[in-house]
Amino acid sequence: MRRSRQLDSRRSFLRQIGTATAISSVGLPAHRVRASHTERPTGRQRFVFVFSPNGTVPGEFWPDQEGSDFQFKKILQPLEAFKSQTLIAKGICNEIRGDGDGHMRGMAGLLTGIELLPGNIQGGSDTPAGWAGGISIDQEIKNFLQSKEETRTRFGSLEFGVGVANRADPWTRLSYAGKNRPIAPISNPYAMFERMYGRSQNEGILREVLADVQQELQQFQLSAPENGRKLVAQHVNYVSQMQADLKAAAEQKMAAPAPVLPEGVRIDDDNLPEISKMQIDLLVNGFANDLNRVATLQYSNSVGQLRMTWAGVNDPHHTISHDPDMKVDSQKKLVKINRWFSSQIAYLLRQLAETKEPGSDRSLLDDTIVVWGNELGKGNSHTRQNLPIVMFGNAPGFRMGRYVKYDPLVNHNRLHLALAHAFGHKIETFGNPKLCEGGPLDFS
Amino acid sequence: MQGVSKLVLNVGEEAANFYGSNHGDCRSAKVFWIRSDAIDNTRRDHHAASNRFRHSMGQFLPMRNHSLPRFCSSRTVFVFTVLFVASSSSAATDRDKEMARGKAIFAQQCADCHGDNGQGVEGAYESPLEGDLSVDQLISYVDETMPEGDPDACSGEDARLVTEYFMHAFYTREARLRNNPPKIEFARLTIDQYHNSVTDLMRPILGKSYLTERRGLAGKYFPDAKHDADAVVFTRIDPTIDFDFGEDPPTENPAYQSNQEFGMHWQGGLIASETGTYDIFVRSENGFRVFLNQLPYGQEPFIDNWVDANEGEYHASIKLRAGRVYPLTVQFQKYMEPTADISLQWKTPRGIRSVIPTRNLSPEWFPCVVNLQTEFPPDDSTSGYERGTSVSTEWDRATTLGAVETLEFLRSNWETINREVVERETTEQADRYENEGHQETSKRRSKGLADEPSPDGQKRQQYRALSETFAKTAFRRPLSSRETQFFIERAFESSMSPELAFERIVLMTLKSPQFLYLPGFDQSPTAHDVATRLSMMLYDSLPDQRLIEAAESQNLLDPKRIRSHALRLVDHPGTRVKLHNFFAQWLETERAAETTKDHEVYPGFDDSLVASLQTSLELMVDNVVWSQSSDFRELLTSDMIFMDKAMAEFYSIDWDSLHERAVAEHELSADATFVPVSFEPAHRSGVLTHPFLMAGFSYHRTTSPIHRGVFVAKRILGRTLKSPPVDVEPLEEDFAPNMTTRQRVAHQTKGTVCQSCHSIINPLGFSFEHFDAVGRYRETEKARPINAASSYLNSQGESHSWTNATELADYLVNTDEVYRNFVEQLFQFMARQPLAAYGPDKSDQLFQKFRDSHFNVKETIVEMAILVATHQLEQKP
Repeated sequence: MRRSRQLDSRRSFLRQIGTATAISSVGLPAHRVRASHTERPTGRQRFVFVFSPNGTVPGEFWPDQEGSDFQFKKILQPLEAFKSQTLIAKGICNEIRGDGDGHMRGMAGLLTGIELLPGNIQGGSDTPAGWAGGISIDQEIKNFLQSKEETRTRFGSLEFGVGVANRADPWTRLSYAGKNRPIAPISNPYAMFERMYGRSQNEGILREVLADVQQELQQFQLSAPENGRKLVAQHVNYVSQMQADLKAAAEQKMAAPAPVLPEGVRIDDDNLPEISKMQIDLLVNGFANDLNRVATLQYSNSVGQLRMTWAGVNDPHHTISHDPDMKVDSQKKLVKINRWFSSQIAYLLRQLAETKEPGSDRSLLDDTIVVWGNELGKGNSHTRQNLPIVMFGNAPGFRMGRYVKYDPLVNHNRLHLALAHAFGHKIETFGNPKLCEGGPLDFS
Repeated sequence: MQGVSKLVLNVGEEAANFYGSNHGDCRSAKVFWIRSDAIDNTRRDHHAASNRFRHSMGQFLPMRNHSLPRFCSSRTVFVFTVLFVASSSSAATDRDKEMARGKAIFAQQCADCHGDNGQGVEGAYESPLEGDLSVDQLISYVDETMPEGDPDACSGEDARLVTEYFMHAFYTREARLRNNPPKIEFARLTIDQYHNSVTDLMRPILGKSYLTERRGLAGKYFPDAKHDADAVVFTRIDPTIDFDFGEDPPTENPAYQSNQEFGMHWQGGLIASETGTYDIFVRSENGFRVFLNQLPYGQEPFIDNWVDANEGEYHASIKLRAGRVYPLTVQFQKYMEPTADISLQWKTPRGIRSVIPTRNLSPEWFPCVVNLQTEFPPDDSTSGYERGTSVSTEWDRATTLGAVETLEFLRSNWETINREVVERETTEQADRYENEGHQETSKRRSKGLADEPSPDGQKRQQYRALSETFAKTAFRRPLSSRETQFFIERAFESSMSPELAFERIVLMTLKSPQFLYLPGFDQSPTAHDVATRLSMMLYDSLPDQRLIEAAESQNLLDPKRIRSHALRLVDHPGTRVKLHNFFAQWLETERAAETTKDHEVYPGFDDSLVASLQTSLELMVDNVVWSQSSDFRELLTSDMIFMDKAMAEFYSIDWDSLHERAVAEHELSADATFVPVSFEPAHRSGVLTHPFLMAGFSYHRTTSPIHRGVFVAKRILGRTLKSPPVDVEPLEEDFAPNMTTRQRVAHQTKGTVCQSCHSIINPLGFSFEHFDAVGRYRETEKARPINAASSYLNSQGESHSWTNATELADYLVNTDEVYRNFVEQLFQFMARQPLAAYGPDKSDQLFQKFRDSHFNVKETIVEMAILVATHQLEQKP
């Protein structure tokens, strides 16, 4: 006799997804996440940095006309609907010097504005330089917001990745918690979901155990060899964070329900369009629930070799980014690639614009500044001048709906200063102080 | 000493001219003084060199040159003899004086731009003054171009003195190691070490497994859909599951005659050959279910289509780890459907979809293993090897999730664990009972004793013992009495159930720093430290049972015993996996695997051919490394290649006759997919001319001598190269349609700015021009004969030349640099620490051993493991 097939969508969900992630183990129950509409003050300022690699195609990126009457060229066309909330800034450059190749300095210096530390020559270093020598601007702003009761959130910042290569080197890391402390983005939306909404069925036992672990760690720190104490001290810190996070997770009240992710998406480059959408949905939802006010969204990595078959490009991105300007076919492909990135940002902006700040009429986009950047100005010359920087949304002191050109060129450290100041964080220098001359760029 | 520079110097006339005529151009100078970012093993400081010289030549040689190669070829000895032997009888004093003079010149003429210690000066010459150019190249350069703007101010004897001074003081790698000696860093488990440790930690309580030589899955064939064990028609081992029965039963066995339904049950193990996410697919129009790393009862199947018989494809993903075997069960039933088929396929982490091959299936029985799916942030790999020298929020979080996942695994496997742990003792009693002739007990046992719980107290005792073993194994040493109290007793003294107490101890243990961090190297190792050093060095996991026993009996402090364990463990499956990963990294196979070609120019070169090529290269390496002689030189010289049908077709070789010959000659199984063949022996030589690397280091349509040259320079010779100082667009093929690739590259890199590195890169890269962008041998390009002749200047300033890739390979196998570089790369990959951190003489020592063993890779790994295990070991008399 045949039994009828019993459908159990949750279990099949766990099977297909849980096997690829740790969700099943830490127990996702999304139904535990309750929607509640508590009154919250409006005007929460937020910052998103979106990264895409290997330079742009300047001729199809920069508008012809300065000011507010500019026309979008091919790459930015998908963003046309947001023209009045767009600020295109040409002439910003990354002037950090020292160790590392163009891509490395471009990447590690992009958000840190500081030179890379020397590589480990003793070890027979593969790379001529080590990690960036300072904190990145997203983390700087996050720390500032976390330092004040009224702007503090559960995570402060979340680092999203889409197709970031699974290795740790200066080409793959955008954010830094500090000198020599790169932050790995989470490129698996299921893992990010777990991070944001996962509640452990094992919470009780876990909290008990972590308290014991903390005790054990502190003891271990004292007996650890001299050269290990700093490492263990950091570890002690992270366990405290985890304890705090478990508590925060238990107390988390949701203003908006967690997004429902499609099931069983394999985390590989072929599925990036879907992964990108999932990550953006999570990012916007995190803002709606005020889990964090800072986010980075990193597409691929410096020297990334994505093959955007879905955008009609079969060649690996970095390889064709080296092709000369006169190779029309490659330039067309690079336009397609960058246009796809641009369409992802358009989706992000749409979601932010369509999501209301809970308890308010304002949209999330009204109080969010989204900055899209790249480690290079142009792929085939590796120039770090005229970085393709575009800003969207809103922030105090940023007058949008314009195309501005800096001549002479300006250092990108001054952009970082402008961003910090927009958040009320009035620092005088950021990154390499010598590159901060002139103070924050004036976008008003 | 003007003569010195003229004697050996060969920077290239053009380069000298360029620098000579551009004194005012700061940029040109910067480029030449390239900072070192790779390794050069060839030079050591003069003390070491002279000591060695005294030893090797049995006499005192007055040394003034501090860039002497350590193991001088007769040629070098000759050169230096000519230059220096006759110089002075009181060399040491003279040398000191010369150094002092050199230092004074540097301070006066160079330090303004380069800094007092060559560290660089902002706004002038910013990069540190370091690299691996030869003394003669440098003297000549200083002589002719320095100081910038006034090159005559320092020339002749002064140029020599200042060059010898700064090379000795900070320029060479030896100088830098001396000034800034690396230390062994305190480290946590790397991700591989963590995963392996957790899996191995739980293995003893999940049951033993034995991987045999047999491959395929064990199939039981039933006459109907009921899978009744008593009704088995026949059993056999199926090499793959890929059947289309049509309307027929599986065989013509009469048992099938009366019945149109039938069923099958396949069981065995799935062997993962690489680490990563696999998609498992089943295509069938009938009912089926798949259990992977699960027991085929009581758990939700991995893939389930038992009752919904529609033609279709079902799949699920799972992360598996290389070298591990996972229990696999496939159940099949045909009931009302008119026809029957089933195909079990996968998509590997490399993205290749195929029927799961025979070589990845084992018909034996395997227990479930802990197979963590938790994502860890990748380990720091900035030094060229993964190391656990940093921690982060994400890492700490992952260790928590990993511990919780292990807990969940325990919970779904209590039944097995109870049987293995709690009942084992009872079973052993039963065995004795049975031997005395009591059949009944044995029957009872086979039904499983889990339904007959032992008395509570006894169970508690057993779990307590299990917990202690668990913690002890995880910590890789016995517990102190404080730890026993803290980790074990507290839980068992409470009112928790024994299972809950064990769960808690598992979580605590896996989160404990005693588990997560490796023992430091700051003091003499205990026997248990030695065991851990050996196991982590060789196979990235916990000490195995025999190591633990040796440590417990304190035998492991005896170097002889250490050696015998290292010898034993070099054949551990985990060591194989680790070495496999090393070669993948060393040969940059990941990069080559990304290669794509223009389909119009190279029809048939597709992703599946690339996958075949990669497997072919891996087989070639494995075949050399795991052979009896394990001779590294064969990697560079062998003409034996492994070929499958796809490769044979692409490279125009008759597959059938090749296959037949190889099968007969090497006594292979008739269904071998890859067979060894001597491939174009006149032209090919080892891994370097393997079509996978030749294609990988090429562009879409043309070869890339630069990529090939950089690969040989950095990976094989260990030369120092820096990224291009100016951003250059590579010249396209249509830049000059009549130019060959070689001409185009030579044209583009002829500038002196480029030549500082390209004088190394190009000759190496041009040597491979006989191999086109898909690795096929060619005699011509654009109707012109290939010119692969090259002349190369090594880091001692000696010139070598050859006319093709096989001659280059001959040069390489006669070059100490190659072996030194290999030993160092291999060591740091295995140890996850820099070699020099174990002592300045260790590189020499290992090189010596490598040479003495006739470049036996396996034996050298044993020596490396011993070196690490005995570091600072206090020998007891």
